[in-house]
Amino acid sequence: MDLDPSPEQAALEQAVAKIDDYGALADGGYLDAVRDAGPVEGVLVVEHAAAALVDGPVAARVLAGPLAGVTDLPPTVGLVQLDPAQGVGSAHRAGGLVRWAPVCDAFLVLDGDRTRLALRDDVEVEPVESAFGATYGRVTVHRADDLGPGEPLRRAWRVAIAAEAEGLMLAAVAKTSAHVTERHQFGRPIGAFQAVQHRVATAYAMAMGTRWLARRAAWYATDDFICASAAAYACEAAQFTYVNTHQVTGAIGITSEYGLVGWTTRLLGLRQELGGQRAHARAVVAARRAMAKPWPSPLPLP
Amino acid sequence: MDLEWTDEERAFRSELRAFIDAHRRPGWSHHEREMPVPADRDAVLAFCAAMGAEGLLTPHWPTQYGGRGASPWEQTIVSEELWAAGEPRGPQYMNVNWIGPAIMLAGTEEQKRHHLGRISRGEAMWCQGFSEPGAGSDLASLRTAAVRDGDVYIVNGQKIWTSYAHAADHCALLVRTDPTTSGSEGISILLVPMDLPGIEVRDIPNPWMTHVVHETWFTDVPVPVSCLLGEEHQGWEIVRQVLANERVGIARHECAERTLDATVEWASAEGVDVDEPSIAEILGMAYATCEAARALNYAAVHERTVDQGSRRPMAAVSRAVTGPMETRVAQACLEVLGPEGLARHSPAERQLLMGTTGPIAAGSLEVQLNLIARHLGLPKG
Repeated sequence: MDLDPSPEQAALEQAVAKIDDYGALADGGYLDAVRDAGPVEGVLVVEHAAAALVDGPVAARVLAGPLAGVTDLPPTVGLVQLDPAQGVGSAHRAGGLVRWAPVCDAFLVLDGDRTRLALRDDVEVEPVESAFGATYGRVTVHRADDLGPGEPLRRAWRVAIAAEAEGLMLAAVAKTSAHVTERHQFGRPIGAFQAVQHRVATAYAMAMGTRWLARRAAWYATDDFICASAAAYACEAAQFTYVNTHQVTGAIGITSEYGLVGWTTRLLGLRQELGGQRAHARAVVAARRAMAKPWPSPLPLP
Repeated sequence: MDLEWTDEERAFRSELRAFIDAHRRPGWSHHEREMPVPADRDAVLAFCAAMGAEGLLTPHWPTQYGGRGASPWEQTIVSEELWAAGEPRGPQYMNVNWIGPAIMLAGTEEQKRHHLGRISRGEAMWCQGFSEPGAGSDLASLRTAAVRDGDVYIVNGQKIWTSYAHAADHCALLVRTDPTTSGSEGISILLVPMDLPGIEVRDIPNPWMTHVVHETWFTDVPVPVSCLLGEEHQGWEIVRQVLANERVGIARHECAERTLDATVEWASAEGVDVDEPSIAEILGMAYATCEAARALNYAAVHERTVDQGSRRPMAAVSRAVTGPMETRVAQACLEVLGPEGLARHSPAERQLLMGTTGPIAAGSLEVQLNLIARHLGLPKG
């Protein structure tokens, strides 16, 4: 293993770090980073776009589609999980609000155990107001082309959740670290208090855990266990980061002008995707139980 | 970035599994690893000698010291496979990870000749005399005294949490050789044979098992001056340089995942439906946390391959996730097993020990968080 970025990856990071606009990502060819360079490059693009709060479905378009094997996609793609209770029929309602739905040209649809592709004219989108850092919509899928089994998309979606989450978390932690260093109360920076330091340090450690797990998941995108673990851990780390960055930032943290909410509200939105943390956790166990073990248990059984 | 094991590393893992299969005492488990009876110590040494003969115990050491200059990744593979198999090496992590490297760094030629060969051949068993009743997280406040008297140091003091002291033949002992100093000044390292007169090892009773923790008393112990590692009074610098190696690469994630596997087996045997959503969710989050710890452990190993300095933020970050992981896995084992988890030798019993000590041992969780705070540039308190 070599976990240092290659010169090409370092150059990619430098280039993407200057971009805070979806159109510029598309114009620069960065939406096809997975196809053109590899899965880690896709994660790097998503990390930076998340930190820069780029508006648009970056993680879906850059990671989820290509890692699921769908590379011929229009510039904007939404991710839809159909409500299994609706069954297969002429009109399927998404199981929840769909992030970025009002701006998407196409939708990758997880329909039970199948992956489908619906174009904009194949769906009905009802925009929904939301405070959670993105435009949302209720999506009804009228028709969609079958692309194959659903598991590749389910895994890829989980990788996308983890990669976006770690980019958001590390940006929120960086903002918070600067704040607690500059903000003085009781005669000293509040970041000098261990009670504050440890909250920020723990958030950083969990965000870094998500980062390296997301990168591993992208690399091993056919591994159910790693991909589900990445999404489950990302959800937990996101919740911790949301709570603790706001706690040490104080009231200023809830204002739009200050900016912390840009990252934290998106984190809370991500936590709701694909069934959320509990569904990811159940998938982790199912995958683990299906794995072959090299050894009998190193603990005696009853 | 390349997150794949190389063909050579995969082959090494296969070779190692075959070796373990051939040499591990049948039925070996993490309970025997604590060596509660002499036969277990004999089994550990026999296993280590077999590893040494195959060059598997210290593959990452330089060739002149009995290794073959393999990458730290092979050391990580050794750790993962052996922890998954109940760690039949016993406490070799101390010798192999940091005591040996400390001797390479600061030892005399005689010390290198005597100790490094024995370690790499699997003939040695060490403990470390670091903590004292009044010097835990603040290790530099230690008071065990070593007073020079001709060709020996006379050592007096008490060490605590000297894991595996009951079975060790040597102790890497931190002592204060300059009584006029405090803090990190005036500390030296002595490589102490455990059969010297005046050393007494006592078990510290605990609910989980015997022999896992000890206190070690030193009363007028005559330690030859030839046992001094490095320069007198300069021991802290050696400790600082090599302590980052102490737990880097130890595959606690692997052990914790195998404990969860064992919990699933136990629970299933007891009729618990582990696929029931509320149970699966507890287990799933525990496994996921292990995977986060694994990913960070790899990042810390990588950091070690590219930076041999003592300031390695990923080592602290890794441990800040790994310690709580141990606790979480213990909670999961207990919750899933229910009252059955209270039985002697259940996976929950074993893991509760790991979960309680994991965030404390070898630099507490709070110390790791302080180090991360420094890395983030937060102001000192």
